[in-house]
Amino acid sequence: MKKILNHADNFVEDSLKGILLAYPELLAAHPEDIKAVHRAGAPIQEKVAIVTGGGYGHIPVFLGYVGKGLCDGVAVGNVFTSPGCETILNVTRQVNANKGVLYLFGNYMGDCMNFEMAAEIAEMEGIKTETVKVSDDIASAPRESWKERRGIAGIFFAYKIAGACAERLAALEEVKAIAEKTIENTATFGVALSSCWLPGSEKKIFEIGEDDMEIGMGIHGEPGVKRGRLTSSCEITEILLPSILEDLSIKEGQRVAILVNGLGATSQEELFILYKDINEALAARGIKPVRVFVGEYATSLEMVGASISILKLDDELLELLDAPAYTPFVNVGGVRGA
Amino acid sequence: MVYTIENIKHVLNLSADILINSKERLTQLDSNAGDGDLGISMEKGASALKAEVAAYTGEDIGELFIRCGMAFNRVAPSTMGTLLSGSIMALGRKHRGSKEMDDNAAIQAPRIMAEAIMNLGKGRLGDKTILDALIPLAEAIESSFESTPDIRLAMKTAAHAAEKAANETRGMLARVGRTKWIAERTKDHPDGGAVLCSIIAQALASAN
Repeated sequence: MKKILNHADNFVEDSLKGILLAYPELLAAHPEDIKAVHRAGAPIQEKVAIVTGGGYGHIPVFLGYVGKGLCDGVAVGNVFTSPGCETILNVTRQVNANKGVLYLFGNYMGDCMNFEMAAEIAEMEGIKTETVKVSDDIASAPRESWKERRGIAGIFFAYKIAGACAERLAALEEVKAIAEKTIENTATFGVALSSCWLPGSEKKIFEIGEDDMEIGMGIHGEPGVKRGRLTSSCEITEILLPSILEDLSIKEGQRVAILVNGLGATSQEELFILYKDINEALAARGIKPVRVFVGEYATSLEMVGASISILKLDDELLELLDAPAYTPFVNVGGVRGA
Repeated sequence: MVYTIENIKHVLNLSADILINSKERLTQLDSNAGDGDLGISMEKGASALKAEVAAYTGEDIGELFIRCGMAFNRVAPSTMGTLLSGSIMALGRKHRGSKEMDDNAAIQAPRIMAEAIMNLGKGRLGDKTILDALIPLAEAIESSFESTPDIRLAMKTAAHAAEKAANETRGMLARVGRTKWIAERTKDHPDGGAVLCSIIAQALASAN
């Protein structure tokens, strides 16, 4: 695989340096720990701070969601590897404004352990934390045990809504509750057409045949629910969408937000073909996509494929989804209209 | 007996040296179950821990443990590295602000570490993990010390229990972690984490 880099060992650090040099007015890092990145100007007084984190290689997840209306800080790990608890603590101390800190991250074992260890030390230092894990991947566990699911692209909705709530100076318990409500009402399902190369590795992390696709594959190459022949966008929609609608018990007339996410090497053009089919399939069922996001919101290096996420909306969630948010990678909400 | 920060540093260094010297054996065990990175990640973690011990000039045993756990975690972010770091940091939270530990505190240490590992990794006895050696070790050291308050005897008894228990993970089916997916294939090998626990226990029991 051709990659633009200097040394594979410095992949994360060099990439982070580039991001910090490109956006000095928006992002900053801990002076002794470049993997502890926060909003320039943190801590923001009177505000609950949201700290996220996870392995590198998923941009804009996780770092790309640090900014106004979203998260306050991020602990960056090595490629597809949890950040260490020291980095999480470095971020926590930097963004803490004594209104509490919400840890909001995807449900993976390494991340869960390190955030838990960090929370224990933070508590010892007098910093109050709460934890919400994102678990939206319906391929990884059934609805009745949805809290055991892996966290994937649906994390976007959790960031957006919890971030908007925190930006309005809500209390820690409120921010936590709205994050949990969002995740419970979010479901994601995707297909991978080919996997990706870790920097410095000669082999892809996973092989998928030229004519095949893996349904429900995880963002680190975890096995999906089944492998099938690569079919049309229409048929992919008919594989993914009904399962999501059923998972969320979405009935005719329901308002939803849709996220069509590219995994890293699928073109925007293709993603919009997929959205056309989703829109038609929703129309046929009388379901209303009132907010639509199409693009790269959670990737796996240069993985080929896409996922569909749906957030079941009510007035409260819609209003927070529409609030402005701005980072170097994500610019959503704000003024709507042509 | 009373243990000062210097005694604790000695125990930490000794444990780290054992991990470093067991690199080949751990790598061999782990290549049965996974990508074989256990030996190298434990070596990295142990070296970082030793550097932290050498650099620490304070007197707070709890702080020393916490710093050591963080140092280990910084360079060994694997599951086993994180679990070990978490167990060392749990000792740190328990002894925060203490300048010394007594025999009772030392006897309780394996239990505190086992509980931290259970809590973080969501594993239980019988899942074929480090807990299958560490929990029998904790039980043995507690019951031995209760019947005969002799810490040296208790440590020897515990090391023996850990070795026996680690051997008995051979034939068990893994129920958590990466090994779960290849449980049948790894059935005939002992668990790397359990063996690691046994190796450290034996080294500490036979040291002065």
